[in-house]
Amino acid sequence: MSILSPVSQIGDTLEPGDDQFWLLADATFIPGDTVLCPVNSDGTYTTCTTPTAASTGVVASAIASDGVFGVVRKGATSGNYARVQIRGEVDANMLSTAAASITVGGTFIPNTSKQLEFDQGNGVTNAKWVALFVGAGSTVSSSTSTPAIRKVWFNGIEGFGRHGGSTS
Amino acid sequence: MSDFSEVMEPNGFFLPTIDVTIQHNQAVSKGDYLILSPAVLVTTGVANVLANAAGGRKAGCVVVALGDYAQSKPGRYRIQGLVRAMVKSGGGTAIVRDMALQPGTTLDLDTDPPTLNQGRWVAHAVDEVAASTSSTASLRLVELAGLPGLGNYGSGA
Repeated sequence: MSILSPVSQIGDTLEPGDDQFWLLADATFIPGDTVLCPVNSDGTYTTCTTPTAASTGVVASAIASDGVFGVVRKGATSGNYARVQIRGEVDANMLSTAAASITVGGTFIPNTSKQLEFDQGNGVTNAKWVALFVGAGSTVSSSTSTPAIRKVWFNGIEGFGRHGGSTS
Repeated sequence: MSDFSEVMEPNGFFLPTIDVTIQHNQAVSKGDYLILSPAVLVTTGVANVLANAAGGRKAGCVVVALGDYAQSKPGRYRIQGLVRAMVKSGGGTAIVRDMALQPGTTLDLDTDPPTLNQGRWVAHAVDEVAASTSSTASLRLVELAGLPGLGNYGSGA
């Protein structure tokens, strides 16, 4: 199970996987939104919704919930189907609340505003990293507190590990 | 390993099933999780297999037994996908869908965060269990990702 598949003919080039599905939206979602894909009672995933605070993986009352996340590629209104990418390279709406420089390879957690959040300060122990910043291959150092669509490598299933709990 | 790309178009997806047949030198019960280390299936001392060791940390591939198997008889084990596993909440908390589960110390998957900060989440709950009965392990549907896992628990240490 890999987010990457080799396409190399010369060198060590890698190409991210590309898992996209049509999911029933329970609200209006636009391209770049990060959404939660709740599991059904039969183990399938057929819907998408706005991430809840609990779904980010933060431990509360000795439990942790998260689930599977995706990024919307083709938007939809409530009751219609959105095209959602679960893994691979995708353009996502992101920000750094603290206006920090976003570095290539930097990790993101989902937030309840359907964005990828770069800042992972105190109080987010166990939060699930779901994306790595790719951008244009260079650090973004200005206006990062304003949400913007930028390119990431996304893995909404296994993620890229979890936040350890101290300040980022 | 197969990709997570099996589709049920036009809408939705599911976690592909990956099973393996293994012969073990101990009796195994349906729904128990075991650790598949290279060349060996571990059913005892699993906490030690997963635990932090000086100079290194261990994880292993978590598999769930699909049946009751006698000692030294081949058995079928699930590495990934929807499966009925022994599940509990040590703290007696209600188990709800999408709750993260980690390998416990008694061959069941637990909702409780690991006490050691290297503990690894390996499944999401699908079946829901009331708080009144959740502290006793029972067979419940989960979505298992036994090899890649779902990330390690960060304790803040």
